[in-house]
Amino acid sequence: MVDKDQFVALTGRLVNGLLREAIGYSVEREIPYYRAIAGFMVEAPMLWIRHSRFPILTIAYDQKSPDVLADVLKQLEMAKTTEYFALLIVVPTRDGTVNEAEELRHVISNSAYRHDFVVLDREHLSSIIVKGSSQRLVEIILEQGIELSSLSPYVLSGPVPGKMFFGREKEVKTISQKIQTGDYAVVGGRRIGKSSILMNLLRLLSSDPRYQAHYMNCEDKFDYEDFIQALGDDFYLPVDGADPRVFRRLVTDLKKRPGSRQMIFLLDEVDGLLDYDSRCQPAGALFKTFRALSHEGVCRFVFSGSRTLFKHLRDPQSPFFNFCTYMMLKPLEEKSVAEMVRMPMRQLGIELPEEDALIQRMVEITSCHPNLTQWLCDRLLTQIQDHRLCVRDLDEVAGSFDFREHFVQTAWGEAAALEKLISLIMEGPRFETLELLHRLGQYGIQAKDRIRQSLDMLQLGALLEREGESYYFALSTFPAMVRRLEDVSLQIDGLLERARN
Amino acid sequence: MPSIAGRYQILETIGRGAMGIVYKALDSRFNRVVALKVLNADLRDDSTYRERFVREAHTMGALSHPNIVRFYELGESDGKSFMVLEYIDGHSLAESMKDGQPCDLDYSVEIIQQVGAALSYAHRHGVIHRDIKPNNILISTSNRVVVSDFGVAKAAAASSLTEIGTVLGTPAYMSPEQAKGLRLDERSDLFCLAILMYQLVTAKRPFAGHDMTESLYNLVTQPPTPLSELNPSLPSALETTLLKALAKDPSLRHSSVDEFVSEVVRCCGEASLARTPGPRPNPLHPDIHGNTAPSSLRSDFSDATREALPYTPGSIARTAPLLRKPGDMAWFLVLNGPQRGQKLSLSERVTLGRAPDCDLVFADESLSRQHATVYFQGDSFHIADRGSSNGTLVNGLRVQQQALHDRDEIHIGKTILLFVQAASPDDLNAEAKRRLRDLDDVWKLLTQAARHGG
Repeated sequence: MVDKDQFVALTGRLVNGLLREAIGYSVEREIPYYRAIAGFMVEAPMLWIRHSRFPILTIAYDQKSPDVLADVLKQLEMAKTTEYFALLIVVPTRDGTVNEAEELRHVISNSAYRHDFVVLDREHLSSIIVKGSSQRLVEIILEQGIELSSLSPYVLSGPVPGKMFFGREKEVKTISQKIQTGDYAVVGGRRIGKSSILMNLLRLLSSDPRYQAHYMNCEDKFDYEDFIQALGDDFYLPVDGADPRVFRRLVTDLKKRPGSRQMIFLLDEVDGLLDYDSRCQPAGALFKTFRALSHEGVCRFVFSGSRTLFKHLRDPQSPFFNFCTYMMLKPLEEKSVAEMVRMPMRQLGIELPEEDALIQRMVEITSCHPNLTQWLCDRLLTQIQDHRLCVRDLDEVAGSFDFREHFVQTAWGEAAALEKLISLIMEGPRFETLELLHRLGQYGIQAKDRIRQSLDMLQLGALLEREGESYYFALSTFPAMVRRLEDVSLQIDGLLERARN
Repeated sequence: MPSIAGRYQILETIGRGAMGIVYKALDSRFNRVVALKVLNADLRDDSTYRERFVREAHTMGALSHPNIVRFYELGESDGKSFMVLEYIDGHSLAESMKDGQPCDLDYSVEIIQQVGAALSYAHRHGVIHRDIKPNNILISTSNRVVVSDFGVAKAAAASSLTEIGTVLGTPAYMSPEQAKGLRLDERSDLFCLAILMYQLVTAKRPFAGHDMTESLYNLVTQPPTPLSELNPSLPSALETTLLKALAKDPSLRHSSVDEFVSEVVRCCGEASLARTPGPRPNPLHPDIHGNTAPSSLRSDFSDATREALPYTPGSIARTAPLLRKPGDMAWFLVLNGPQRGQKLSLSERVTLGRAPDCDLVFADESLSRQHATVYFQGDSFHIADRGSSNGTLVNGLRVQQQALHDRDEIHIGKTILLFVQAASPDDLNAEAKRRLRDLDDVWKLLTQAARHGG
């Protein structure tokens, strides 16, 4: 029979005090006590593993208890945790020779949760607390046989959490410091880090007492109703219609709330919504409302998007023209790639005997594209054999079909036929505009405006970079990658007809 | 169960003072026991007391040291002003001195070292305690010595609520300049620390009189009774050290608490080897006198765990690997901005700024391009401002160059960094031991709670 109140209070003391100092996390909330298990949900931004938020549970472990694992699962369910990863601290309930932690570890290792639950005993706690860093916890996690692939913090799609956000200091700094006086649009190709910038801005602006920042992913907001309804849901406000004017009313109501601050809307992936808005009658009503509200100083906007947004930004007929300052995202700086490789690997105890050469090779292969770097690092962790990574390992992964396919998909993104054709017929590394026009002319494609637009779009996708009247492949290994993946002449034949139209 | 602010459940009253009541309370949000200091209702409308209360909170909030009670929150609820502090499970030094017997020399030195560490830290942060006495020194069950009650403490440079000419503090533990209502500096706390040492080893106060008037007269005009008359077993060098620290003229005392403590340690350490056990065993280290070692030092570590420890359990020796390079010991934790949560390792010399060629580059336009340098010298890290436009602040004070201490908060531009030092070499074992003792305490209670009635 556990003294529940005391057990919960002491768990709080352990989790809020010694362990927190050592591992470095913030305590989010208490998890309700259930069948001799108490715990807290924590967020550990400095722990370089996939799981940033996880529960720490103390278990008054009784050998006679029929199914501790089931109790843990039940409690995680009640705690509404989204992942199963958890630290389980075993507190023995009897004196004796049985090692309770060992026993529970054995149970877990024979279950489906062997890569999810880390069992800690008193000795583990001592070593973590005395060492005073999360490094020891990572060592223990690895000692318990949890696979690196399930710990990998690298993110293959979608926004990255704060700890995996590298570089982009200039963009974030500029927007955060000038948002009071202007609106911004972040444009770029696929997987270049647009959403991550917006999420990072959300974290930053949310901690600034001057602002009330709100993030919305508009990727699945196909019309006004979707957008307005989602906004109403987010702010618990009744919505009376799906007209862009409702947005103005919503924002005005929000401004009237006590303690209201300067509102900043971070609208991610607006291409679809923008396209819908420009097709409606009257055209562009929603984005015109955004612009009007911004001009009135009611709120500010940061948009992210790709091709459609980019076109609107340069179209004098669009509400976006002269509305926002835009930033086109390019690959990262080399030092950010170095950090991205080095920092998580180090904490995971990976030995990098050729660290500088490995990073240099990573830079050469990915041209500092953030997603390509994350993809390679993640795959390296999946395939690693002996906690040691060399250039040879990287070359092996980079030479795989999977990577080449991912590389080309990322480089092309949503490229149109003419854009793909340009990237295939020019072998690089550098070409003149006249040379391109000549080659395309041979294929019967002569519309200079379309060609110019295609070149702009290839720059947007970070595949090409312009220098005067010449272009070079910003993703320098693209020509080689695509040739190893596809039969380029067949591809060109397939693209020609569509490109001509 | 009564509660305050809907969050702090009052468990019991643990102290009453002129300004208010101190409760032991349970913080239901974090499930931790805290000390809740509530300002007396009748003082609430007195701006002097209210400001003093707030000032105490601000003073404590700016200090973060293992030997100073930790401050959590200042709040108001239902017309009550309260502050939430770390609850120290233990007793005051006054209680352990109640029997009127002199304390063991090692025990006394350890108390003075830990209180001295707290005062030295406070002084470096511009705070003078002004009321060092046994009642304000707490000893936790894990033998951590903690200085509490900064109610009359004062920022050395700040304009104060206490004007010159006003006497605050406790007469038996005042410095002469304090009794005269003169301006105080660190040397006043040093004087009080010397009184404390004197009392610990003799069980007498150096300037005691039959009443307060006589005590104050002795304090301002009379020399203390020689130590040798009260406890002949004490080293003569200690008497010399205490006489210097208890000089009426502050300029004749040691220049700092650190200097005084070092001298006490040196003269007592030399005497310790040849000494027979003192009148009372050292409860902080019973093994010195052949008693059982504290449980925290008897932990049964596996070889693997032993390797992970920065010291050998049960001894004071430390292992070399952890201290091989400064970066192993200290780092910055970024507390705000886009790099929030990042842990930035420190090498022997790093530059901080927004220029790309700095070692630590921050996305903060309010930083100068080359803002500051952090370097390792002697046994500690130092920070030096590099002529930045917005300055470098350590715990709220603008500095040109300053040694850094664990948990110092550094402001460069809008960026806030927490300096975290695992330990300076000398402190490493003490810190590790403290953590282990704390773990012992919690673990013991946890297993008891797990077995309750079972």
